[in-house]
Amino acid sequence: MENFENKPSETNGNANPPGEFSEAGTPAPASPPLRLKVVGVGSAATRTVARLCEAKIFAAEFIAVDTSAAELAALERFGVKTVLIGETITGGSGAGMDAMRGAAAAKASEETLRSMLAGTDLLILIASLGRGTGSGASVEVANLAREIGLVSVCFATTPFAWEGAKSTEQASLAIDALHANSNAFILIENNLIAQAVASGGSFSEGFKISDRWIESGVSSCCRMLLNTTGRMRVDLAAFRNLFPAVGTRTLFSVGFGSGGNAQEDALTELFRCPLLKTRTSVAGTAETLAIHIETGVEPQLAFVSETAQRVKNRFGGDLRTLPSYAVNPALGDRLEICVFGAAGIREASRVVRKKPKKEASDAMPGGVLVLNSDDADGNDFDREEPGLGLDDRRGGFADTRSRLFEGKDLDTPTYIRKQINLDKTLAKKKKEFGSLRKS
Amino acid sequence: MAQDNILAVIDIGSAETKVLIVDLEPQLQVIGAFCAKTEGMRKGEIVNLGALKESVHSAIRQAEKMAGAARRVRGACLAVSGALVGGFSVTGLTSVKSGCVRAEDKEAARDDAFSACIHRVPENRHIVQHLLRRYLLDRREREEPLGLSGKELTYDLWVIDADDTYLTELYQIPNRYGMAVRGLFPASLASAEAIRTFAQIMDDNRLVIDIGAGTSDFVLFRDGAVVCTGVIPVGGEHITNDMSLGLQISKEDAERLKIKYGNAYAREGDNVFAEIDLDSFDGELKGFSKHVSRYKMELITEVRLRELFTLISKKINVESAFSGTVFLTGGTAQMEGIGKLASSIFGNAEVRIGEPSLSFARAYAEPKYSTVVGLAKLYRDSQAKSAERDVKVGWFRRLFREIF
Repeated sequence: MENFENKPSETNGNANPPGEFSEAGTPAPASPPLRLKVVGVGSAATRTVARLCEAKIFAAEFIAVDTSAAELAALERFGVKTVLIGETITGGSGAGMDAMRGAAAAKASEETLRSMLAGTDLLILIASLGRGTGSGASVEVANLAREIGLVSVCFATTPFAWEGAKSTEQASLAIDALHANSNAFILIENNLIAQAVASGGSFSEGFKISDRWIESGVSSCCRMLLNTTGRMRVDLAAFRNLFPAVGTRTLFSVGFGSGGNAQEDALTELFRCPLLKTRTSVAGTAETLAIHIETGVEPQLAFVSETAQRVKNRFGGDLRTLPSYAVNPALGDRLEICVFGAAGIREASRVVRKKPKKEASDAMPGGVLVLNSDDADGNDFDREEPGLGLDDRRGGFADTRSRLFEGKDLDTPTYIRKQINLDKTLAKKKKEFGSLRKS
Repeated sequence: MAQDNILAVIDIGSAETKVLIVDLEPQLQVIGAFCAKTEGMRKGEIVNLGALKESVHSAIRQAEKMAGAARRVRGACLAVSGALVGGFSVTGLTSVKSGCVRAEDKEAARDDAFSACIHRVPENRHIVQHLLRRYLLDRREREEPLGLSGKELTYDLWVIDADDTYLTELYQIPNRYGMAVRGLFPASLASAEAIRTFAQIMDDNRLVIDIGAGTSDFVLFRDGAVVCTGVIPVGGEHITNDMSLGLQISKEDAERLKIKYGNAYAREGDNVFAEIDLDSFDGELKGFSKHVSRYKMELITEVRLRELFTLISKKINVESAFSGTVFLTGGTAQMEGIGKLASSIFGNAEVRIGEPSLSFARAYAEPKYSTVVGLAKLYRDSQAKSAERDVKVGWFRRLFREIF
């Protein structure tokens, strides 16, 4: 997992193909091929969005949503569009750790949020859960997006175990709500960071890693869709087909490799990505799969097909597989593989429950991706109970409902919650007893 | 042929369902038994009732076959466990009017406790069992207050309750097989009963922990009376899951690794360098890691079990400081080094691994059978007690009739 370290965040900055710069430069209304919106809700998420915006990796609109005016004012210099919500409720001073207040704030500013989401093809929602705005308002934003009929990809970070039972509980509730309302939901557990930080890593380094996970996720996702250099590209319709239903389990993993052994390294990292082990992740194989391979030099045919085959062997994708590759000279000898997928679609389709659909299509402003009604009826459904239709032997406790026991999620391994770094401890002990052995 | 004395004792665990067909008369005797994998249950909670019913029914069928096809069993006895089971204490109070405790005073205190406990149980929960913890006479503990003098008698009660829907679903399983539920006991009590050896005196202070696959049930006894019971939703399956996450291996490999090499203590010294070759197991090679560090594996197990024992020790220390013997039972109790670890957490207490030691079930002397064997014993004892009470009532009635 230390391999995450290999990828300096600047890579993203250099990763701009010249063609995309011009897109970034043009203002949004001049009909770009794809209207992406990256929305951060909650203070930590808004900072992440600001960083992404500053890096200018791809052409998207970056929006920071928060209840705290001071927090937003600090972000303006990054060029992020800021949206202050719930002024009438919080007076612009934050939601005060209370998810109910966060939700109320979002409800009060529903019109603002609605117009913010209008004219979007793909919504990438970043939520930092645990505190008021992140846990409360993000759920409302996801609800709105679903109501409008947007394709949404949601990244959510959870609080550390020591942030208290209330934070954990609020986050847990928000996870369930977001998961049920997003097409793709990717959970980034802060407790996992300790596993990824190399020995001697500082606290802020831990946050950098969490950021990097989101960053690589958002950027891979966008680059896959805005892929101008690659031969095989994934368009939005295809991407939407990957996640036909909301509330399914999402597979997401990234792997990086460099040098002579790049392929092997990248695949190993891809298969071991800690994000595969979260509560909402696909535990076994996925039904639909998108594989994005990005290399510095033109790859050989055999290389691409072998890599794709190995990824498929591990992650499945027997219902639908979308390959995509791009050549990005800035990567040099590095290789980046990113996998998106969904599982539980078949199970979900068995419990199709028609929802009284809101007639939103008329009210929608032009340019919004409108799902045609058959499509929506067939694909837009709730899953009855999370996990009930899934096979029990899928592994992990991913398929059971988490029940907090005295504010602790006991299904998560203790070493993760207590943030014991296994590799570090082992290395330390080895050193200790290695010297003993010699003497 | 009346089959009232034949009973199916069923322990539905998260991993395995254990069924014993027992004959209660003239003495407790096992006539059929079967143990099968449970489907549809995780962490002691029912996740798929249909699959669960099917798997339990097939286990009962096999056990019946073993007992002889003619013996169709009509009654069942079940164990309750899981996160949906809870416990709390209530007290009943009465003032002793005559200055000397009489039977009426005892009854009044008991009734007061029961009415208090009915108010304490929320609407969606059901009382499974209540156990007398102790009598207090003027705040001093008395084993039997009858005839002692004092002013105020307190009846201290421990109540075990469970979620309504869980119980309904649990009852459905034997009901759909044509069996009536005749007994329902907390799994922790059953395990404790099974491992209570003959030589062990009743008034022992002991803590019994049954670590199953999905849950750990515990019960604390002081001077022979139950002080508290509880369930922690952590079991052997969690260790497997932790290993598979921490060592990046498949769940199957982790399970085999745990059974073959599992150790509750992260041993230091040369062990730090030891590696286990997963290829030495049969089966395909999974993922990319072939060798796993033994120390890492043990460390994962140790932190998990340490946390489990700490949670239990916190729970029991709310009631009273613990000193006495710790008994471990259930499937995970077979793990090496677990006794040493438990001892270090429970104040260097003596730790023993308990196996069911009742003479009628000699063939099932394995920790994982503790609950089911104890259930049979508990049911039989409760039957005997109620029979005794019947006799008493009969005698009273007769006296009553003679007088008037």
